Amino acid sequence: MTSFSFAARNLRRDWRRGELLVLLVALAIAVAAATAVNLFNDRVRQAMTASGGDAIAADLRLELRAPLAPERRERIAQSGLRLADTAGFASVAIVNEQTALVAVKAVDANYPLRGNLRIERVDGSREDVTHGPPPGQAWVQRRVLAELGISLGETLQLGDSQFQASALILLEPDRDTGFVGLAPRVMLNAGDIAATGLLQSGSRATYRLLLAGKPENIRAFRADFEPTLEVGETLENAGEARPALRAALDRADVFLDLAALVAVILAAIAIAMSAHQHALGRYDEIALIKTLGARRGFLLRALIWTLALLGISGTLVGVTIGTLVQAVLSQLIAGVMQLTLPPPSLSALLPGLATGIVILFGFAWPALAQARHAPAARVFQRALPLPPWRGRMVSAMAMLTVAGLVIWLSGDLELAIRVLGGGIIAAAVLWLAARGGIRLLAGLRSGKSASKHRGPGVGVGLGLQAVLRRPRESALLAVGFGVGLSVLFLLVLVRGDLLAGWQQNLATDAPNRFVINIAPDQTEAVDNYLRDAGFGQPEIFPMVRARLVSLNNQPLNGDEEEAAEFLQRELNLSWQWQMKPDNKLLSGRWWQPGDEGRGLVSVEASVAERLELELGDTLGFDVAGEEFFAQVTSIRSVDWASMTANFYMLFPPRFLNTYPATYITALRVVQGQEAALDGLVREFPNLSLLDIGVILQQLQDIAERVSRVVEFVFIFTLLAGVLVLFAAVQGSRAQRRNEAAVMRVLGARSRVLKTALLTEFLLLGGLAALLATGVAQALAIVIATQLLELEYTMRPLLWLASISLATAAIGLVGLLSVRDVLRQPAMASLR
Amino acid sequence: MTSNKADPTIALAAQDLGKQVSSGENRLTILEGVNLNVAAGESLAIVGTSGAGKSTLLALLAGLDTPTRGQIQLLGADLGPLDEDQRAQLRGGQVGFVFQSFQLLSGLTALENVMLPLELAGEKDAESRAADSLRQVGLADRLRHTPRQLSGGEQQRVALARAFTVKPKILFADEPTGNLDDATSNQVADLLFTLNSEQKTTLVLVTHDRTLAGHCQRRLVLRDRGLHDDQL
Repeated sequence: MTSFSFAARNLRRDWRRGELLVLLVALAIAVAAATAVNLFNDRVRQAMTASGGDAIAADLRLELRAPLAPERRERIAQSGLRLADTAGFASVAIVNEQTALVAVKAVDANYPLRGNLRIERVDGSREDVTHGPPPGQAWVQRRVLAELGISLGETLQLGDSQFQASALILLEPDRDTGFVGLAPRVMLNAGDIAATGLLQSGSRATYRLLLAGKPENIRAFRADFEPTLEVGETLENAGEARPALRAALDRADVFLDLAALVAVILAAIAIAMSAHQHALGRYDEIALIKTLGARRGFLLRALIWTLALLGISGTLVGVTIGTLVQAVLSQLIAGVMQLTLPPPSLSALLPGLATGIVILFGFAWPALAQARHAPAARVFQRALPLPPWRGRMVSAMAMLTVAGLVIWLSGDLELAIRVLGGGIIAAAVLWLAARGGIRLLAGLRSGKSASKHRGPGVGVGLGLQAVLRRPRESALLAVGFGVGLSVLFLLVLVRGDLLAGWQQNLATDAPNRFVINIAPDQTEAVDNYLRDAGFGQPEIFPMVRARLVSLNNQPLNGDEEEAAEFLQRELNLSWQWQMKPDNKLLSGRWWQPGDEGRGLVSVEASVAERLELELGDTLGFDVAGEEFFAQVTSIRSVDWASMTANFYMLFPPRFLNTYPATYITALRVVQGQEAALDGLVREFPNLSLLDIGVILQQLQDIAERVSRVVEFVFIFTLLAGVLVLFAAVQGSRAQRRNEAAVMRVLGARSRVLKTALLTEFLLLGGLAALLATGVAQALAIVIATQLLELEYTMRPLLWLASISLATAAIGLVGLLSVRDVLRQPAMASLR
Repeated sequence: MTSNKADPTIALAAQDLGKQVSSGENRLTILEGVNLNVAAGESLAIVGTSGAGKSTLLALLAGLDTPTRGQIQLLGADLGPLDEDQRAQLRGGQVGFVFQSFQLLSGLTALENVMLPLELAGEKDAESRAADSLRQVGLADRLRHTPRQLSGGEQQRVALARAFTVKPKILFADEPTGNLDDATSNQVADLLFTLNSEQKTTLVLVTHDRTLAGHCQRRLVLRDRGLHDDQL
């Protein structure tokens, strides 16, 4: 007989007996979790970086201040990438007496290269299209129609040309999220632009060349072209163009990695427990076939085959499930994020496959390999001691391999160390506390014996005795329950809190409109108008446009890429006396009395980091040719998600007031208030309204969808936790059944046995639940504050409920696990 | 006693055999100065009370355990220098076992249980030979039954079929009827001795049952950690 057929036959038998179910399910869960998360992350990463990403309607876009010189364009065309041109500029659309400031975008026939436009036709039908408007037509945002007082199908004038407003733009793949893009859109065919006479040489416009192609070609092009970029030109991909989306996905990445890692670790624990249990049952069999002449080499080969067969089947199931789940996850986010997710790369399957092999050989091998050393003489003497543990080296190697796997899976050493370290500390705490708890029980009970009890007390006494008789095993069982429960508690209770905390960051009452271009002498009137119209007490902030030109009296020449991008733009400087609540002082000091009118500046943290600014540095600004200086006195963080008006550079009052300023305010407009807003624009025609509701909605959608993706992956973790509980009960089942049967033979009635079992499991379950609560609570605080930078609120009532529920559940499970003993004749259980 | 390494007429020999086990801090001597010679084809019964060390002696003689001192020659090979694998190789196809608790693998059918030693020895026609053996013990209609579906007597007959199917040169039997009622005991014992004489197998039988021991050509008593002639 070959070792293979021996292994296969044994596996078939063990499978029929249901012994391998926990092991296989655990393996499949680990592989599925690792596969799903890695495939998903891979697709998102591909979409966000190398290729894809219709956030910019292309894979890469080149932004310029002037049309691209023909020879450079020629050079780019040789790269073999697909190209599309767009030009964007501000203009005024006119219908009769009505005018509206609009953001014109002229697109050529190839636009968009990625993603699609969603439009609504005159007949009300909605459609996703992959082209821009045909010549003579304008596609517009709804607000253009409102401001011009026309309906779809009517005509509007731009420059010297008339256009039919033939469709509403509902979704534009490469919509800008900056302020400039927030005037309502009018999209035209590029061929119509010359006739309008709007775009003369020297006009202020943004020219974009969109590029798309295979990821490797894009990378090659980028590496090749980037060095030739001139001042004022940028080359960016979707990820770089959409920081908010990137931030959301980064955070999701942490959640997903965490969920998958914990699932893998829990599954590994369940596998170890189940393999240990399985190995115990194999000692006699191995002893027997040794007496029949089987050699160690044969047993080793059979073991390797066993694990290989288990590994292949578990991994296949896991990869299949993981791939399906990944598809669902991608479906969940693709729509809302307007991302075209490319198919996952094959290499992204590797972590899942490796997970299966590593945790099987790392966690099942030691116990099963140990069984190989069962002494042959056991066939005569069952009581022969089991061989000393020879697997210490093997276990150490396994632990290291698994640590390596965790690091590799997360791709984040720090996260991996935290998860592993947290896990080890939690297990150690659970173990010590469980031993302590059992010792405490023993102390409470000392002197009493089961026989002194009467009625139901006998069962309770027996149950208590069962816990105390094997303090080590009881503690192990409690730790097993505790580990499983910790994760369940963490997921079921804390997950909601964490995700809610994250979504709260995007407050639902955040402003959704900016009113800009308020002249200094209009602030009071605008303020009054908004108050009267029911917009509360709007805060109106001044804004002075300036350029940053020097640092510590050294001119900034923009050599460094990071700084260069920043220096191209005009900055909005502002002043305020009180720091807003969505700003946080990180270093330095805020204004003190006496600072008014002084050249001091508070810099937003990300800018300070990019420009490598330190407290005390002197910044030089240029406002319309006039230069002034200010010293950095503080660095602030800004919660941009609050969607209120915020500024990179803040000054104390009475310093900038000699420079030309306009004012800005942020409003929350709810349904029914649009009319009041229209009235504002009518009364102060120079004001511009920026609708950021769409962006806000998109951010909220993203947060919500990403939460759902994360919750989906948490199901794996949850299952793995349940599996650990199950493996813990299953592990002690045989012994418990045997004891119950013996007690029955000795005359114990079902009720006594039930009470005894229930007592034992309630005690252990209660102990485990209590400890798990503490562990989960501690982990929740660490995860919330350290990893996700959220505030965490305790929920004592929920904890109380979960402890009671878990205790009851474990009591019930324990009772169920031996219910057949209570039903059938005692002899049947003993045979 | 003389060394009989090369003597083909001697199936099993032991000189000055001793076994100690440690139990906590104590060292417990189970066997001491055991000497034994079993001729090829001979049937020997070792009788003793519970706890006398019969099973330990049997495990040592069959090479399943190693003695603390002394030598054993099994089928002409000195067990001392052999490692576990070499001892297993020696057993394969040459040594049969019958146990008190049958020791059938519960997941395998009767046929598969009997096939096991043949397959481990690399025999090609394992299935037909195993089926023949089961027929010989009167279980032709029980080939596909698992141990749980068989009575105690039937299980022990499967075990006999498994022991004899490899045509072993020597058979070690540990209380083969210990778990059976009287009538079944007699059947199984008859079967054991019939097969034994048919195949001219050397038999080493350990039992506390004097009637069963009476079927053997020679009887020794294990008492006070050593072997003595039976003073029946």
